[in-house]
Amino acid sequence: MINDLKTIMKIQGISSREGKIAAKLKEMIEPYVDEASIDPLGSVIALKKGKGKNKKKIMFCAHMDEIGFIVTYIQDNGLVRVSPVGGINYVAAAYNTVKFEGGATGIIVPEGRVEPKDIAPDKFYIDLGVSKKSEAERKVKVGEGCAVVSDCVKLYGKKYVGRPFDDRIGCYVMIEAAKKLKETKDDIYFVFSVQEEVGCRGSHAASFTVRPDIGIAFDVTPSGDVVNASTNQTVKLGGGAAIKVKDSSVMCDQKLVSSLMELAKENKIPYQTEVLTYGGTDTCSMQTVAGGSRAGCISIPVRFCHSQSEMIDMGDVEACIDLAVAACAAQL
Amino acid sequence: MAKSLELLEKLCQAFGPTSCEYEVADIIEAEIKGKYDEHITDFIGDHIYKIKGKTNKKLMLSAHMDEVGLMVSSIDEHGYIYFQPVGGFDVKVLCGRKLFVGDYGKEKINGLIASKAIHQQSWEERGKATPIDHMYIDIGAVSKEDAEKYVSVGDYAVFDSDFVKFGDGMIKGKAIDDRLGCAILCDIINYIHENKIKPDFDLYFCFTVREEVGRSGAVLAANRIQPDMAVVLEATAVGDIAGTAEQKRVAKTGEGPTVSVMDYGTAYLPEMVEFAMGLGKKHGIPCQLKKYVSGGNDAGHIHKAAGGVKTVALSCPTRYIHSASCVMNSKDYDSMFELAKHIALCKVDETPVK
Amino acid sequence: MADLFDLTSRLTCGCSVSGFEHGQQDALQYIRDKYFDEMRREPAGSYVFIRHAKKPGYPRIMFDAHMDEVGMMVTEILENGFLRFTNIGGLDTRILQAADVTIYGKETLYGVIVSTPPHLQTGDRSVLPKIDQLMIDTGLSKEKAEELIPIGTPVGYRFKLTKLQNGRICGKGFDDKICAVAGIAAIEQLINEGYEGELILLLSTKEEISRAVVAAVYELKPDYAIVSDVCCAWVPECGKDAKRKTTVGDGPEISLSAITDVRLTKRLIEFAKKNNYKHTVCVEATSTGTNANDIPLVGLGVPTVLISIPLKNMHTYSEVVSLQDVADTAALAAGFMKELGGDNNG
Repeated sequence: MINDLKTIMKIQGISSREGKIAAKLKEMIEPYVDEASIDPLGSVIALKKGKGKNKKKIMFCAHMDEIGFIVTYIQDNGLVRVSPVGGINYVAAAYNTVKFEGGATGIIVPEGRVEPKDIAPDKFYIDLGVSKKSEAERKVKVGEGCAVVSDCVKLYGKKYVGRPFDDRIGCYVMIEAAKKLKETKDDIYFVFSVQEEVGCRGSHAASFTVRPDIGIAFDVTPSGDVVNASTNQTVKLGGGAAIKVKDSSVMCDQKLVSSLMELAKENKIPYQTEVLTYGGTDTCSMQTVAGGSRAGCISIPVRFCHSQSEMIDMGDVEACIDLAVAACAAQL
Repeated sequence: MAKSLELLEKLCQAFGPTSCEYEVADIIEAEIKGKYDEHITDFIGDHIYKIKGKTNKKLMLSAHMDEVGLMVSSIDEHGYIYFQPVGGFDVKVLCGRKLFVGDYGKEKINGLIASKAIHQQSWEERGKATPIDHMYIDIGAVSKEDAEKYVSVGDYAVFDSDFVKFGDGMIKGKAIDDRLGCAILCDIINYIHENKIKPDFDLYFCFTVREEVGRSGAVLAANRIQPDMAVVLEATAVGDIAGTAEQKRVAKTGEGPTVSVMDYGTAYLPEMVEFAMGLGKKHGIPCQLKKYVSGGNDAGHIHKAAGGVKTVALSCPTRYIHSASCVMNSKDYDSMFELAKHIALCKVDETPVK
Repeated sequence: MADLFDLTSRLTCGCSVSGFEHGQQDALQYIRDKYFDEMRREPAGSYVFIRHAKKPGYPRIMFDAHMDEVGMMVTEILENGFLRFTNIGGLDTRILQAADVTIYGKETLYGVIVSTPPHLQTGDRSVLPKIDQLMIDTGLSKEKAEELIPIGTPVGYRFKLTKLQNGRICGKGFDDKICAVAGIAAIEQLINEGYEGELILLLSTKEEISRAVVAAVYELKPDYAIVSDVCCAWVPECGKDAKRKTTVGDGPEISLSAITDVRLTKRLIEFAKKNNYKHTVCVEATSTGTNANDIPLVGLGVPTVLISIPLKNMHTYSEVVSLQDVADTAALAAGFMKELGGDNNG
């Protein structure tokens, strides 16, 4: 099981360059659905047809893209300038190894004498170990993407650390849920969206295509059990599936939120309530695109989000999978 | 070429700030009259001209008609006119500029942006840009009543700036962003008409509105057309001026249109970037990657519309954009026309939408 | 004429924190029964009221006002039943300490936001605490609070509606239910005048935090939208030289903006002038900060105008409006809707 997760975490796919990871996810979901296709922006839209009468369209959505960098300029001395794709934490990014789409490897470093307070994207560059522009150009090209690489490592108990759990772990939850699903009453759409990290653009397009009645996103949420977290963050790692009430982009549908909580209680699935004072996810697209839908989000708690050492608890992941399966059978 | 620049000059000189693009639309309509199969307009002011193709695949070619401008917000008892910017300005390019003030169908009168003289400024104020809400327009009026004979609240103002050819093939004018795109679309329509070409794609030439304020008419055009592919023709700010660090120059004037990799509105699909660059290479047309992430354009709206649209943006490198004196290289006009034309006339199965 | 004070009271008394507008069910049912043929809740949460056309040929005219208001949400239960909370929408932290609130938990509860006693304050006393440093005192034990108040419970300002002099009223949630009141009054006037076209009232959701209005408008496909929201009234701190001086009592403010519809707005201004409707005009060139920003670009587009009612002390529990302004707004909206109704009806 964990090997499937490791497989999808190893395939790079920064926003707008998700071709490889999309192909893999499509291949993995295909045995469990009736149809699967890739939309113009690259999102995978898979459908498991419901057998019931008056069936609804339920859209599950997790994003497959990850944060990274894009090459904007190669200097005469062979140093590579990059621009951030998504919300980069530069303190975390500094001095990490990055891997390019084409296979080249480099390290991302700040310019000399840059104090933490002066950190800005244009103060960083990538060193490929070359000394000439021509050498660099043989390895990378302008417009190529790259991302920090990190291994998935097991820590104590069910805790794992690595990247990008944001949001391959959501993709994993959807695939595992699809595996467990028997016949359903409603049409279940599994959407692996692109470009969430740059503004939920893939789910915007996909929501227009699917037009769900009910939308549920599976995404990570920052865990509040770290030293000196904001007093408002109460989600805990290992506390179960986090049912989102709000983040700064969306107020989830109240009826859906309470149905999910009831479901969790009935099925003895550990859960916790998520009230996030910042951030956003694909839920907002599903809620507002075209005629809109009743939308919510089941979040997987993660510590140190957007770093190379994101930490999750597989117990939470299992709870999310169980809740997703239960949601398919329920009257939401 | 000479003829194209004439059209560009005419378009740049037109009065067309956001939500007041009618004069530009009129010039375009006159230029391409009878050379299309269908003309669609919407309430917001977008103009869509369709040329039927051999397949049912739809290609949207889009350029915006509006330019940055000012809107009159109040008039004081001395006849001075206060305004709000419509579009993004660097305040440092406003003070002292000559303007035309008016509205569509109304006589445009001369004015200028004023503020108190250097002598009247305190030591703290000197050396600092005047904030936009301290500037006002002087039309020579002597009282509120006098000013109201010529100007009403809600009227617009745009730069009064002539079209000049200078240096080694350079052009200076206002509103090159994005009358240049409009001129190129007209040229492509003319080219298709003159050469009696039947394109592969159904071509939708979209002259859109309201790009400069970010709430763009391109959204409505894309919702209506639901295209398979889209090309946005734009102007992009470049920093190829002396003293700029090489990695911040964005692109070079004279080396052809830029193909965007990423900006604040769009992360372009790599296959679209490769398609455009590849087409340029194949036909020997100068073109370059936009080597910086900045700005945004109608692609940001179009690519998310109607279930997703594969979109590419071609931009003409333009210095001092959003000022009275935008500067571009006339060679880039030709290269951008050629590249856009080749995309428009591409066979469907040679594109990423096959 | 509708009883504006009564309608205001009905609409603002319950819970309508963004995303939790359910507290207004009684008021919604009352409005539906009195004026409309149909009421439905859109998936994203907006309420749509439709009065069907009695004759074909009229355009679909929609009046939009948002029904949500700013508020708070419980994030954590602390010792002795104190609550941590976060804001929903923009709160003015100057007015929070020692304010009365209503907690919409499993039961509706009273609470008061704490204020640090003077002798425990250190440092610069003029610095306001941040929202996440404030708490709500429920007076309950921790156990009881945990039982009655789940995390995620919405909290609103406590309802109290008072009359001031000169027809001015003071209360919470006028942003934007006072505009809903104006819209209902306008529709009542049209009904009384025998207007036969279709009339849509959209009470939209979540305006204070997102753009959920677009989903409802996408399905409704109106021919025209009249958006009504409140605008900040001029008050002395704005200074004598402020360029925007509309204040409470000046009547509705028509907003000219390059992003709504300049032509339709100019037509509205002409109409108001010609027929002597009380009004003022303001310019908000590139953003109105209301639903009128988003509605024009929904679907294939909706011609939109924005009419605002001046309001003092926005986003507090002591918002002030003039009922005369509300009546004037209703009259202007009704007149203009009738004018638009004539568009395709010869």
